[in-house]
Amino acid sequence: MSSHASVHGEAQLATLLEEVRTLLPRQAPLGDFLHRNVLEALEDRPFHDAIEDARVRLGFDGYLPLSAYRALLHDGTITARAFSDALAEYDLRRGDTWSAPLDARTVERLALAHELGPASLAECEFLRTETDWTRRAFAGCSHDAVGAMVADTNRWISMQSSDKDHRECDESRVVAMLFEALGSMLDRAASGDDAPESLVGTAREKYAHTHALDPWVAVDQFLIRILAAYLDESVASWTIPGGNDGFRAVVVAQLSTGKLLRDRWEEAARETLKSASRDSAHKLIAEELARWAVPAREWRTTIERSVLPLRGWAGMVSVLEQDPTHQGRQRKVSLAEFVAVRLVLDRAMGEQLKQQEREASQGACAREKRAMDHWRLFRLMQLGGVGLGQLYRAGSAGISATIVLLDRFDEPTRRRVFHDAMERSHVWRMLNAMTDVAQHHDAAQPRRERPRFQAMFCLDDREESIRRHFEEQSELHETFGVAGFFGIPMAYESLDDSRVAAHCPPVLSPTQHVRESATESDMGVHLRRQRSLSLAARTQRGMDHGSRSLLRGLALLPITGVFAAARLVLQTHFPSLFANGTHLISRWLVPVPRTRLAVNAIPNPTRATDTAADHDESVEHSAKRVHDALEAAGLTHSFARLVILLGHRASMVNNPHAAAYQCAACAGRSGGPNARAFALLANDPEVRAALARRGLMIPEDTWFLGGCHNTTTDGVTLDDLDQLPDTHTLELKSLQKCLEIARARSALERIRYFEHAPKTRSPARALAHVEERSVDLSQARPELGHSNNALAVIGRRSVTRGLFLDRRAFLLSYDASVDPEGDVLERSMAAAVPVGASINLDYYFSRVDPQSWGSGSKLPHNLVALLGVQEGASGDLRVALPTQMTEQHEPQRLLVVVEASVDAVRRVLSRQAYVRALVAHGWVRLAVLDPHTKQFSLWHGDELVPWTDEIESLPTVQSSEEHHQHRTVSLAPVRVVSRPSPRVTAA
Amino acid sequence: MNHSEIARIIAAIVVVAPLAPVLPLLLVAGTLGVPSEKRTATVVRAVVWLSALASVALAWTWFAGPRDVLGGHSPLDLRYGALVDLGAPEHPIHGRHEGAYRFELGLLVDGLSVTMSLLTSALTAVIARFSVRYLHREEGFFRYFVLLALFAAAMQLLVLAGSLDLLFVGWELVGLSSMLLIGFFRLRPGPQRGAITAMVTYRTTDIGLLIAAVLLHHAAGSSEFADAFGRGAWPQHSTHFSPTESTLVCLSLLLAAVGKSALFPLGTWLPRAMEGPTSSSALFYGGLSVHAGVYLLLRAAPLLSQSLVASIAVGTLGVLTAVTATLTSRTRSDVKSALAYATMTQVGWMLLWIGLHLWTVALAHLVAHACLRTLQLLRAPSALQDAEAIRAALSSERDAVGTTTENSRLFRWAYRVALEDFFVDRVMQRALIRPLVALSARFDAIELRIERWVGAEKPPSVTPSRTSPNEVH
Repeated sequence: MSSHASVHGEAQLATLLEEVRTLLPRQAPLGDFLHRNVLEALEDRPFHDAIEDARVRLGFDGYLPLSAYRALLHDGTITARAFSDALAEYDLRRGDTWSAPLDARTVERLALAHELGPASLAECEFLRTETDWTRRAFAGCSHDAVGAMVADTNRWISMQSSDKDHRECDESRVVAMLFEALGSMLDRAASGDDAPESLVGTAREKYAHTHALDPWVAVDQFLIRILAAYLDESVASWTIPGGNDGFRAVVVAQLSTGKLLRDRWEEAARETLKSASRDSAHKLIAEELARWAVPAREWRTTIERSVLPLRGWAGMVSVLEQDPTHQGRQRKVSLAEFVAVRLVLDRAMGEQLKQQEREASQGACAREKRAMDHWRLFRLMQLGGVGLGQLYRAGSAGISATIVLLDRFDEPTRRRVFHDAMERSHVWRMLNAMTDVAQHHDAAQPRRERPRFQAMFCLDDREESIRRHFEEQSELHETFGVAGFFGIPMAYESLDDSRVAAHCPPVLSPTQHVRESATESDMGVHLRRQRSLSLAARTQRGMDHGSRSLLRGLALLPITGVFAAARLVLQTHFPSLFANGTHLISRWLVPVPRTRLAVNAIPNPTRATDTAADHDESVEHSAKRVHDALEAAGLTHSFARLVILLGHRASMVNNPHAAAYQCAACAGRSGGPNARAFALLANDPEVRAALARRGLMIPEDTWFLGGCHNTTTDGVTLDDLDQLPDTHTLELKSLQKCLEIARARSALERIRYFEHAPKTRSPARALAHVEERSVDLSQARPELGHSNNALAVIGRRSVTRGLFLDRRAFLLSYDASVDPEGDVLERSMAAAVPVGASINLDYYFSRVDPQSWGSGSKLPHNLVALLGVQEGASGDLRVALPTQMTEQHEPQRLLVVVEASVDAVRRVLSRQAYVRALVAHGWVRLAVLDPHTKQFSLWHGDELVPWTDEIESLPTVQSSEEHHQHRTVSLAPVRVVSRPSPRVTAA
Repeated sequence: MNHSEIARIIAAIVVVAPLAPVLPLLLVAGTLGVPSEKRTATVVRAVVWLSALASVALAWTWFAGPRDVLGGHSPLDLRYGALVDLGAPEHPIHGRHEGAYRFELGLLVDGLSVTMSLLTSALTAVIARFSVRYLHREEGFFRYFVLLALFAAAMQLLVLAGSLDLLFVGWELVGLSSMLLIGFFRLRPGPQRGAITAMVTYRTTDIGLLIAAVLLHHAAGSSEFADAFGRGAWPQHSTHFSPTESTLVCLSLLLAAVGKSALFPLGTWLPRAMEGPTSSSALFYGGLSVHAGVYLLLRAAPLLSQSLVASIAVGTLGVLTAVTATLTSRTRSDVKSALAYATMTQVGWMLLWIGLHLWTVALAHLVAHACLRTLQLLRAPSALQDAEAIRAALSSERDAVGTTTENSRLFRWAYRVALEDFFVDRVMQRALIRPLVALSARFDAIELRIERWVGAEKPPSVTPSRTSPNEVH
């Protein structure tokens, strides 16, 4: 290779590597887990195209298997109408195609509804020689189809035969004749052999075609071991030698030690790496690819394929390269280095093997294709009730046309059409439900009374049930949905953790510094607490490391063994008892002081400080935050005497994915501190005054209370109750009672998804069950997270109030009537749509191909270097969500419903490019509900068009419980016509 | 019913109860379809509990039973009749049955076996309970629980067996269930590789157990522990072997232990066995199966106390295992491997105690360690949450964690060697496997030539070289 070519190649490589990066996972280390669309880098193309691209490049699926869709069609989740519409739309795009003896639409319909073809030549041969399937009708055939086929064939025979009294052929004879006839027609239609497919791919892939074992596993294991050791800064007690000189240097150092026992491939790799130690990684890659003799146009594919077996690790390398500060890590890595090392090692192994590549036998592909076509047609004709008469009339030309049609309507296409049908059904169901609510809401009397309680929740789908149950108790209970950081992007320093953590969406940077500290009177308690905690942490760390070491392990064993024995028995058999017991003991040893928050604006370092002015500015700033949040939620008038704000968090044990259950709007942390800080600001008289200057009048007797909802246990805690004015004490009591009822009913509603939950109607038992889940060491599903999320509503609660949405909807409050300019709408959509989409698409892909996009089952997961999980001791790093989180998820793209005028939404889309891209390329689907006309518009093609589907009225129930009891599946929406519960009215 | 009658029934329940539902369950699954999770788990947990209760009862029976002259609790030698009896008359002079073979179904209940049986029951019951939720909705739920029941029975048989022959049956069944659970996830190649590695190691080293049984028969005329080792309370038996006989038997047993307990240099299968569900990894490689080798050597205490050579060998191998494993564990950055090597370290200690004839210390060490490691492996997924909590609690203090990089030549070498498991796989490969493969290829060629010479039809070629020279495991 000339040096010129090499230079050219190097320049190209930077671009190529960026392309490779697009399909690598982008998940941060597990402790900083954020939901991400796994195809985030392809969001600039249409959804279905991106899926196809990923399928071609990686071989990963983007839709459910056909059998799953068929089951959904069967149980009515996919409506017949949506099915027809989806197929019609596909036909529209496909254009006119002729096919005989069955017309194109029928062929497609049958191909969707039935499994036509065997998957391999071997299966075809097996079916032909070992079963009687060539002599009896296909199992999926309707009675009519079989009848038509037999009749047609007999008609044809009687026309052909001169003999008038020939015998009628029976079913099995007809089927056999059909099989024969198709065979001979295919032979006639065959137009020469296809060119034998050349085997593309890396040496490893070619080797895999002809060998049972994969020697490159040794390379994988070598790389994983060194990379994990290199990136690890806390699990192993030894750090890898030469760790400060970069990854490549570490690999060379490892290969250079232990000369005697080096394998040949290691020796070869060492020489290559050593001689190129001064070259840039890009140059090394270019040279290596030249040595592989890969033509430049296949470079990307080759790199992609070599990285694929360690895709998870490559992704982690890429993430750490772009954001090296994760958790204060120090090691530098780059994707280029990783790829360079990978290529060198791969080639070294390939050369050691020097295997003779066996040529794929000529014509094998063509033979396989013919056999599979034969079976596909055979079944298709039976399903369509085609006999010999129709078949021969269509002739070879018709048969060939049908094959072309089937080839074009291949499995990925079929899945896509089916998926489209499923989403159409979902859209119809949701819009229909909301139309129904809108119609009935109009009929209701406008309310004049002052609301009794107002509660602001995170827009999270998991809050839908508790909100509904809170509202069902009284007409005077109002709830709002806001992004879970309550409009306060803050850097939080909690009592027990002096490291500052950002509690805000990752796109924002904190503006407020919030510190939790013990009250003056409880300072002594606080100090005691800190001492105990630090002692406990030291002990635990000592025990963990000690129990694994030679001498300390031995010395500690008598004590640790006894404790372990007791703990094993207690914690597995009585998880709740054990948790409560240890909680009591730790309360006693580690007391909890009363605390206060201190909220300060993060100072702008470029400005001089002036204390008084700073204070005023800070108040103004806080007032703006409070104002914006309340305005966005549409809570600007008729304040109740008590307004509570509930952030949320999830508590669980023994779960590496714990961060994935937390509040996404708080960057995978708890939203409780945000709610508490918000309440603190909103109760501050100075802030109230500033708010009044901004035109937001909050009555003096309105008090804000911050708190936190635990989505795993449905526990609700309220903060700073000692600050509450005495005038509100009674109300607090009844509020707590209402929350108690709401959370218990919410728990009762969601335990129906848990097979191990008691079949009960008692809310108390339901609560006990979910509480146990959160402390059970063996529980792989403490809760189901965002499972089944499918809808996001940006609008007033009245649009969805009373609608049973089965915890599937993100509900963000927004009132178009107080936002004539559309600024609030723009802010809301810009924040909520991307976050909703990333959660939704993370679940989507992890569900449709759990082994490839998702991280498979949790059971064999093994934490490595505190970065992520791998399978067993040396598997690839597994990213995205485990099956235990997604198995009950119905994968569909998020339907965003905005209650605003179409023009306002169009304006937002024209200003927010990213939101527009998500909508236009179909990563989310958008519907707009006009607040005045109550007319829906749906995004179709590249425009919002009026939605004109037929409406059905919704069934009504008396309470949510009436709807969900005794049922375990996800439920269609119904309208809850609540009657206030007698208990509450009494209270 | 007298005392030993009761003991016989109870002991039989301990072993047979978990085994009893295995065949019926498989039959049901084969004919009526795989039973539901609830049914499977209920049946298996019930028999595991039954066995555990029986185990407690057995311990009590033994404890309340007769005592020997020294005040120790006499072992209960429970016989259920012979499975095979190729009798020969007693030799008139030394009393041995020359040329006779008797496969006695007998259980031996003494301090050692009671302790191990209780441990087995407790850990199995804990894991069975844990697995009901952990394995929920997993495709192989039924398979897992059947294997768990099989393992429970096999392990009880292993520790209660009254003869080496019967122990061998338990030993093999433990190995079988272990291998099948490593390969639990059938659709990925990693678990299958791990399972095959474990199986090859087991099968190779199990030869030791067979040899020991043969030697024991030869030397004592019986492989019944009570016959061969005398009838005193464990570990104060008395035997009448020559030192050479003792040494040979002990070394054979040691070979068996090397495989099952992952001793140096055959321990590399242990980290690779972490491919199965966390719960079975905890039970097998933290708790019970990995300690079976230690139990075997403890059982052979009377022989070891007569053989200085074997004792030194056991002790040395223990130290070697402990040192290599602890060095390797320092380089491992994934939690389960680190725990696997930590396990090997402690097993090494146990061997040292045995080499020093500190039987009770070794047994106590075994029990404490099994509990600790099982818990640690069950909690392996907690490592991240634990680390975060510790970091938070210590965040207010300046706490320099040692991130200094040592870079001396010796350290570099030690690191490399430890990272590569002391190259044992590679040495084995070059010294053993490659010559074996070459030899079989040679034989294959000769056979072909002979066949051609006698005019046989050319058989379809089976090339052993499909295994690449690099790929053993």
